[in-house]
Amino acid sequence: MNLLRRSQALVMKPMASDLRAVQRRSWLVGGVLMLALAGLGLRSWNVAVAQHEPLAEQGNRQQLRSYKVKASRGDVVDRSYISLAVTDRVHKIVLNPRLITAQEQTEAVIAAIIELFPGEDPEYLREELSQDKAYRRLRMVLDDPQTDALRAKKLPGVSLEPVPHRVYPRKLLASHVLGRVNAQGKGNLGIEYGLDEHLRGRDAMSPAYFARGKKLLTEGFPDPGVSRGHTVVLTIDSAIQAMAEEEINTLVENWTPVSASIVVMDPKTGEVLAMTSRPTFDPNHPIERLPQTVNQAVQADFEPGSTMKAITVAAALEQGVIRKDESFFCENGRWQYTDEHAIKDTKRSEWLSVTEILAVSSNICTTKIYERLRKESLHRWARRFHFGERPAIELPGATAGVLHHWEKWSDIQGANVSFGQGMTASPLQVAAAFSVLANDGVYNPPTIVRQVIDADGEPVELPRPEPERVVRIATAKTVLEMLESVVHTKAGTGRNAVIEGYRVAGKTSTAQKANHESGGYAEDDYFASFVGAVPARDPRVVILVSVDSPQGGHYGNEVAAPTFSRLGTRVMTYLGVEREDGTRPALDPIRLMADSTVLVEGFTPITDIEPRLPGQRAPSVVGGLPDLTGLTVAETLDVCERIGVTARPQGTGIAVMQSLPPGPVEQGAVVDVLFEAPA
Amino acid sequence: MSGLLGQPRDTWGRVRHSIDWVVVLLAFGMIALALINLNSAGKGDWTGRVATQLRWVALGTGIMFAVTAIDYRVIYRVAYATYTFAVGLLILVPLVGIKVNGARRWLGTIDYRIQPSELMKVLLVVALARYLHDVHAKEVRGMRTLVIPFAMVLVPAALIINQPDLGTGVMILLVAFPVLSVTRMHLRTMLGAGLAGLISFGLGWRYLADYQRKRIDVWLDPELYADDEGYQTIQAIISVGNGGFFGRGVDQGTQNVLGFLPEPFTDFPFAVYAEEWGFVGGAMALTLYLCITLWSINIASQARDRFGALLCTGVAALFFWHVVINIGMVLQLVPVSGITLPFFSAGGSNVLTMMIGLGILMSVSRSRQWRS
Repeated sequence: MNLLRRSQALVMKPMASDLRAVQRRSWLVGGVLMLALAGLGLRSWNVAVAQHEPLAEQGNRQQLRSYKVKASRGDVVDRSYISLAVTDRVHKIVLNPRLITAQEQTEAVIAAIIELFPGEDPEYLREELSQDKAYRRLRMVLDDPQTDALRAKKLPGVSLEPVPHRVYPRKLLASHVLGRVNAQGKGNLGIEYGLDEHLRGRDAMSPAYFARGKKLLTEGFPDPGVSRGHTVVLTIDSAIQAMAEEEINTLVENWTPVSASIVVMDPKTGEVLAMTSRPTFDPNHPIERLPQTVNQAVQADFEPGSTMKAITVAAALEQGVIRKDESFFCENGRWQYTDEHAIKDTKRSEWLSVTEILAVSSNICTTKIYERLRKESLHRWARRFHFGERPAIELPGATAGVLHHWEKWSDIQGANVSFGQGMTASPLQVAAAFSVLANDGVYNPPTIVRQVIDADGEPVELPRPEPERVVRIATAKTVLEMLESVVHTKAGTGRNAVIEGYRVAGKTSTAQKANHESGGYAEDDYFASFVGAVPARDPRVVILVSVDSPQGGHYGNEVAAPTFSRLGTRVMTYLGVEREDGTRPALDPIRLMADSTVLVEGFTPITDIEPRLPGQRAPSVVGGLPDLTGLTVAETLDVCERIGVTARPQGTGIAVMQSLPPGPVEQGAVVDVLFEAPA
Repeated sequence: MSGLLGQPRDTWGRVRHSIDWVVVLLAFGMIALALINLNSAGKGDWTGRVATQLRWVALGTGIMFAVTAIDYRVIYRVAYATYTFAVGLLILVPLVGIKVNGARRWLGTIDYRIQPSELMKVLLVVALARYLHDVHAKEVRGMRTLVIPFAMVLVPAALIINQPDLGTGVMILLVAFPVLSVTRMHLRTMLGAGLAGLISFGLGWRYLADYQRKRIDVWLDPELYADDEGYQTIQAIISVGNGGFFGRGVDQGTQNVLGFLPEPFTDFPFAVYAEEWGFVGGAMALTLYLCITLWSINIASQARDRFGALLCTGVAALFFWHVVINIGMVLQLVPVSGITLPFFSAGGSNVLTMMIGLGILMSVSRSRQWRS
């Protein structure tokens, strides 16, 4: 206050003239300032309004970018629409090592991840964290609980990124058929590769606001029109496939071969119902060794051996050079065919009918039949049975086999081809050729894709070769009848292939393998197989079991035929095929559940994986017995079990008819359900 | 004496009567816009910068009213002392100052620091006003009489430029200029001073640091440096242009939301504002600044004495130059420098300096009513 009083005591005399001058000047200054601010306003108008269009355009150019919207990969399902390959969304951990620099921070991140993945190597994480990068995606795949757990920890520099992840819910089942996708999500094996174009869908570009490369806002933009990959419906029947997987496992256990394969075909359509190969792999995991991924059934070629004799006989009959009741002299087991080469039989015989030639599998007498055909005709017939030609199957890497032109054949080579040596073919080619005999002489190009369905549920047209007639119905029937003697006569070479209640027409093969080092044939290395059609009179399936270098045995009858028999028995039961005596095998759902179709151990159908296909619907169990039509076998059995009703499925595919009407139903009632393959 | 001066007798009445409500209204209009804009610039982060700024505004408001309450003749008494104190602080800066972003401009700790150069602006106005008041009898009309006031301006300016803070140093010169020009200086003296300034600037060009020279190059052709130094200039212009006439709406400015706009809190808040409020909003803010400037001139023209008139002119100059340089920088009219926009820029020094200025303004305004 003292200060104030002293200040007030100050003389601050207003000088009138001076103040007026100051006032004038200050208004002058004020005017200048006002003009300057008005200038700012003008410039503001110039930028904001006059140049609005070009500047907003320039802004949009840097803010709006297109980004790729990845299409989701289509599913692969079996013929009953059971999912075999689906795309799931999982999370992966993304680290920003630049944000994780402090020692204790690093340790906290490593500890948190190791807690979720106890098996993970801390050194791997340390290595990733030491990189001077802002983005490191780790290799581990997180399921939902793991994702939630990590998210809850809120670690700085650690984020989670959803990534599409291909899942093969049935693990090893049909792994060679399905193949797998690589890290970029592109198919690189099996049908995933063969039909990648269909499965992968169409990616689309969508605009979004971007800030320095980071996508921020996508709302308000139209749907970019990504189309989901097509659904591939295989001809594979998961139940039969599962049986084949089990049987081949038993086979491998008994004979420890180098490789083995089983093909189950529907001869009437050429559809592959099951195809399995050993060694095998789980497509859910990285491949350890390359040979695991080789589909022995289509990619490997072997000498078909004695199976070829059936083709030679059919050709000779068709061409009319032999009669079916003719007999040939078998030279007592040894025939000096050329100066250097003798042809030998394992069993000495004198005179044999054509049927007996096939039954005992005589090389000498087959050569005699070949003598009537000669090289050119045999070659032509082999080609008509599609040997030496890549089969039309949708799987990648199918071999064409080797069938040299007849003009290049030496005399002994011509004879060799007639009983399946000096040429090669894949098991699938052999099964397809044998199917000609089982299908009244018509060749169906083998196929493994039943249908491709687009995102809207509409079928996609696929190029498919036409069936061709190879031999007359009568010829095919005659040879098939002859081939019954292989299994059903005392002298037959394939007696182990017998299936209780059915007639089997088949052929064994025991081919010595070529020795690549010394030339000629290896002493102790065999390729054993059995191919057969059942029931012989009206074959429903053709089954080929082939075994490469079995240990402790080598005859087709010894190694392959028992597997054929067991698998055939189960398939006949599963398909409910009428026996010779007119009865049908009862399909026992309990047994089915327990051991076979729906199924085999380790094979639990998953029915809740989207998308459902046209004709299918979700099962409902409210209010007694539901309307089962549209359900798969697995779903039907599942629903019925839940409401305490026994279902007896007939056929495969989706349910079309049920013996009890939908509605209230007694506990323990039995309902027969008819399944048909969807159109 | 209250009755004599026509003032109400009760305390509240007196307080109300001695406050210049035009100043208060304009100040809080600007502060309101500034806080909304700061929230936008921070992409809706009320808890961080906006809350901090609110605290500074509260403190600043207290100081503003405190200064209002002081008879400006007290300010006259302490003018040289505070000026000397501020120069002392400026001398301390290079010795014990702390470095932020590579520049040594602050005293104190990282969390509680002051920028003496900011304080200097307002204290220089006060000291200069006193000097020009005191010598009015002799008049400051020619070059010879200007030696002392020029020295008063150039010493702190040199110290600040040396920090280095060219922007604030130039600001000191610019603020002093209108204060000097309100006196009855000869026109030729003013022109001569202006010419001398230009020549010294030309000579000083070669002493500019590389980055300072670069800034001027960038200003002349920002597209040439679009990816680095010209980046912020171009982004600011795009933001203003993107706003158009009506703007994109509060919190809808894509340039800002997407992070294209650099320094949205300190150097370029007007770009954020112009994008969201458009030309209409920009004109509104400019009008507020214009009003406070003209109101200051108005008070100056009614002041009882030369000291008061010069103080108000100084405050007007302070607002004016900050607005012109900061918005001019956004609109690419002047080179980029760290000059803040009153209230819009986040930071305490800016708010406190402007609040002290407004307090002085109100103090002078109060005295207009005194009639002897």
